[in-house]
Amino acid sequence: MAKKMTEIPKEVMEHLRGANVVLVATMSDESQLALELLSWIWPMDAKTVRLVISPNFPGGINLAANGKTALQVIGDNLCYEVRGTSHLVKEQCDSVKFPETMYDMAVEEVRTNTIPASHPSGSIPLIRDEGTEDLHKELDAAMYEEIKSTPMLTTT
Amino acid sequence: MKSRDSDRLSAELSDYLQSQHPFVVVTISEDGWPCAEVVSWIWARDDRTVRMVIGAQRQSVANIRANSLTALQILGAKLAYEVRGKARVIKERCESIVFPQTMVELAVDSVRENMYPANSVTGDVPVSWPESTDSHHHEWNVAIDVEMRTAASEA
Repeated sequence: MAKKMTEIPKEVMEHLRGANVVLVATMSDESQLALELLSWIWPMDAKTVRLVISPNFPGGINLAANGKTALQVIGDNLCYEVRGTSHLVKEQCDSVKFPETMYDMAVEEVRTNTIPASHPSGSIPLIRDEGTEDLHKELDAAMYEEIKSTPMLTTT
Repeated sequence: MKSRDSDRLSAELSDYLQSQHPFVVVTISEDGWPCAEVVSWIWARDDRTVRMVIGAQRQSVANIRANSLTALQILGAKLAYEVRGKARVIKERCESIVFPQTMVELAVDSVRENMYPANSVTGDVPVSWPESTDSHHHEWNVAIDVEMRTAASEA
């Protein structure tokens, strides 16, 4: 049976601090859903998740329109939906040259939503394209520094 | 539109969805919010039609009854796709297993590759269950697979 909470549990906080891929579901004002896979996500506290998304992705366009967000978090023995409203923090992140926008998602509801009678036993498996590892390290270091150091604009 | 965006499943994606894999179904809740759930029983009937079996009590089923707009996140080796369309219940209660499951059919409108640049998904989301239930899972998977392939499209 699904368990509902209003704050992100510790195990999900730890997972989100592990540079894992998270599915971000958004919707337009015309009710068109958009799904994006993101890894620049960081829990600022148990009620706030910071996420960075391209403003050109359908999901980025939706967030700018209405902020309605649901995250699907999948990890070892973890399967949670985190729902809330995303608020603009920064139109353009300074640490990368390409367009990336920063949002703070004010968490409203967290629920377990696993497959009955089974559970995920790991994260969404991911590999960096060959030859891009150093670039990824550099970008991740700069972006996570910016994510962690930018003051929170929303009080939840 | 990226080169791999389309109004139908690619042959690669259709082939992948001939067997069951964990995926995420996203629907719209009554209060107008995206609602995500992880499901595993899926089958591509053709390049414009995907069937899935979801627990009858799950929020997704109630949402689909009220609002057909649905998106699936498919994840597999070198596969990361958003599949959107209109879903409807085609069988209220599957007959092949004891616990209540509902069969849903998605009429595909759009397929979009949605992995961010310079990264690839390398395989299925890993899923496990207690070893003692292995034979049950095998039986359920076979039974649901047959039922998805043989069910009529009419609700």
